[in-house]
Amino acid sequence: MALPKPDYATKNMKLVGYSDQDGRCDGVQIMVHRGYAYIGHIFSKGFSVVDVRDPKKPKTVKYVAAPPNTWTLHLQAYGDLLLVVHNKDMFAQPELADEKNYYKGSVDHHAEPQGGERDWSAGMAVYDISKGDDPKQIGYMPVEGTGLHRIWYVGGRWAYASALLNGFTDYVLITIDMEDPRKPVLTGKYWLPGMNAAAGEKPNWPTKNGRFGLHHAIIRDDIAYCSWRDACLAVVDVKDKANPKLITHKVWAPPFGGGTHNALPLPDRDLLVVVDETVLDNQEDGFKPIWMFDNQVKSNPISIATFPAPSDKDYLKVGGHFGPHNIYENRPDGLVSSETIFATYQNAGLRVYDIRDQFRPNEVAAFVPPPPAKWVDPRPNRPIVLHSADVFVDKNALCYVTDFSAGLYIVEYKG
Amino acid sequence: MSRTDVPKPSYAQKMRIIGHTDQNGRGDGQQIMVRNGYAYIGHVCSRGFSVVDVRDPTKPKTVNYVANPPNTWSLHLQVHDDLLLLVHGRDMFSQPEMADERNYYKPKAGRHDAHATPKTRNWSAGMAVFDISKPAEPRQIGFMPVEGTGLHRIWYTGGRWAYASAMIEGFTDYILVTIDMKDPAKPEIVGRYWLPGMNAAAGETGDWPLPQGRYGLHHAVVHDDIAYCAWRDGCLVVVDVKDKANPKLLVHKNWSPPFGGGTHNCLPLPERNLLVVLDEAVLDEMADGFKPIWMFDNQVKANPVSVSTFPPPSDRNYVAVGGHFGPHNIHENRPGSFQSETLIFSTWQNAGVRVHDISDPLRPVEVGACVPPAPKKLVDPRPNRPVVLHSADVFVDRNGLCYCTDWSGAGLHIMEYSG
Repeated sequence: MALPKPDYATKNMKLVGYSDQDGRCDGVQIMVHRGYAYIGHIFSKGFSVVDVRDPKKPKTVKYVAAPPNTWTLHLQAYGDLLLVVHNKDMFAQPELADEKNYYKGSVDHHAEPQGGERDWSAGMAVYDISKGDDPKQIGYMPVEGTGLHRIWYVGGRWAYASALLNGFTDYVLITIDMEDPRKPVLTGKYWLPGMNAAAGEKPNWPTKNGRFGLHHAIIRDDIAYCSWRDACLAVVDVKDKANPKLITHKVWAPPFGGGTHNALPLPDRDLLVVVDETVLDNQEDGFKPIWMFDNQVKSNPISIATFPAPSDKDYLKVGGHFGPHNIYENRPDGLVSSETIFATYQNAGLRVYDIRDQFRPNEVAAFVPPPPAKWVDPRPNRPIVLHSADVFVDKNALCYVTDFSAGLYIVEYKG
Repeated sequence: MSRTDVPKPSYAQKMRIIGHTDQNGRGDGQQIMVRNGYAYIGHVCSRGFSVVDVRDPTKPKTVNYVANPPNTWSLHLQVHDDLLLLVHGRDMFSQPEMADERNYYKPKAGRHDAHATPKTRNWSAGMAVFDISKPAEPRQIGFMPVEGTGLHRIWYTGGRWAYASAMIEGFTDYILVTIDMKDPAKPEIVGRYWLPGMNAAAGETGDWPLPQGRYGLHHAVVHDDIAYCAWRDGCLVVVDVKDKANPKLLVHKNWSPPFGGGTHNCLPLPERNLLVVLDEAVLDEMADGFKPIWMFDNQVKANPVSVSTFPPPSDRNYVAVGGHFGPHNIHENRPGSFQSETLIFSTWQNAGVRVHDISDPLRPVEVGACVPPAPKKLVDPRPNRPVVLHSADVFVDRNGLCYCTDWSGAGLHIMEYSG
């Protein structure tokens, strides 16, 4: 089968393989692990396993359905374990058909079930993936609330996640003890002052409409770099897993749009790359940069530059979301680089940046797949455009890019 | 066209030198203001200020020198209409311990108050006001005394209010003062703002992030009743000065550490809601770290956000040249001078004058440069100073001519930017 033809690709980006994921072509987080790609779906209610041992011929080998009304769009793979979020299926909620209500409104009412019974699964499922194509659920950590959003797990005893728990206004940071993977235990919580509504706290946020909740954290040297959506960057000391403590909180929204989505430390250079996610169509939520921070002083990260936005065409005109969504997070079993950053830009595809001069990041490669051939987003009135979601980069610089509807693209960055 | 009677720059891009004067042998200059064809230049070492006739900028002619009272520094001045405001402070660079500039810029325990309270004050401390209705013959008409070391820089663009940094007895370093100019013969300090910890006389103790540093105001640029204060190693302090008697803090942003501090200018660009902030290089060979010129988003006055830095000169290895390499000052868009929100003129000490285009605030680019030759001899009396260029201040007139002073004694260079 001929490979799809990209809308735009620089010479150093080569399309190697493509999969429509057996028709479930919507994907968000992806982990490539021992020759298998694990892909969380955003609309298809479950996750899929794609055999990518031959990246030219990716083959979907398994689909694991989520429990009813449950979202499993994010997952983490490390060693023999796969950790999958369970959350109320937010994009199946009638009032979230307009994404503004999800990204610019309160979500706490989702934690409490309507009419007494919770009809979704809230927590974290643990799978044994020692057989790569056959994940077997071995454990589960339930939470009381809406559920988990994203997890950070790179082996060892501790996992970290964002969780919307009963009583809180939005997602908070939790530490999870993985000593017994069959029974992970929620050990510590950190929330920004104002979020603990059950304890009578009252928030005082700088923007009226916003999401002041943790998207997820990346942990390095017992410091959790937390992307707190419209509250931007919170840096939390997680040495004491039971009592995480704030180191610093930096807010640049307003004037910027917030939606902070990733905060990736580059420890050998004392830098921190921070992504503000574009969450509304036609940049209605403002300009969302990828930021470079100086991170020499952990209690005082300083913004020093932004990554240039794609300029090869007028992507605003394309419609839908134009702006960053996610960056590859230097996972220990994938590519680890403090000089090259891989980012998804939604309708502008995949972008690669050279950050050797941290004051002046440069775009050095781009790959923009064609618009999706099939549309699986059930929400009404969505423009049918590309929506590159997550990217995972393996040690050979193969980039695995998911999309809200366009399937899996495997692209080689040739430097 | 090439001329032989002007110094030849060691490097130039889209700029040329059209005039030069050695300021009658007093070649050391700091702040400079040009008005109606006359340049007023405060000296660093020559104990006074000079007036240079620049009506023909290709033939600048030094026409007057006004000496200071004994032991007094007057390196900074402001000119608006017929008034010239001149700082009087203790002549710091004549103090024996200041022979090593580290003692001035990096005092132990972050304090600088030892100079404010001597047993007997043998210098003039305050602000002198001159009438310059006869431009070549400034005539002192007023004085505002202060108890302390004196004033550092002033901001005055006409009207009733001036603003200055002043080192007053009881404070650990320079603070912001508002000055009522209703009667220019008798200006009065009306309000003061200091960072918490600076009022030692009231028992405050500083909790500064660097053990050695200058936590004091260099000077403020005031726009729309907001004082954008460059607080040296305390970085950026934004102060509401609507109520002149009670200035109030809007926000304090400190990026030192990790950066070196030395914040020297904070220039608002109100049309574009931007703020250009300059960190001064104060020690030789970048011993005080990398000092950028920063671009801040200033849409939210209580939350300026740094978005980029200006690229430093890269045409040669200026650290190897010796002395100070790094920013000192920017042209401050004074009314009546060249005013631009897309072109920024800055001095880089041993790397001369640079022009940056900030049309894209996220990515400032250098579009012009002029590096005058090094002085033949230094006027600076301090021992062991390297004989290198030390471009100090730059003033750009409404025709786009750049007037650049030099600290070490290279005199006044008048440059033209042809970008």
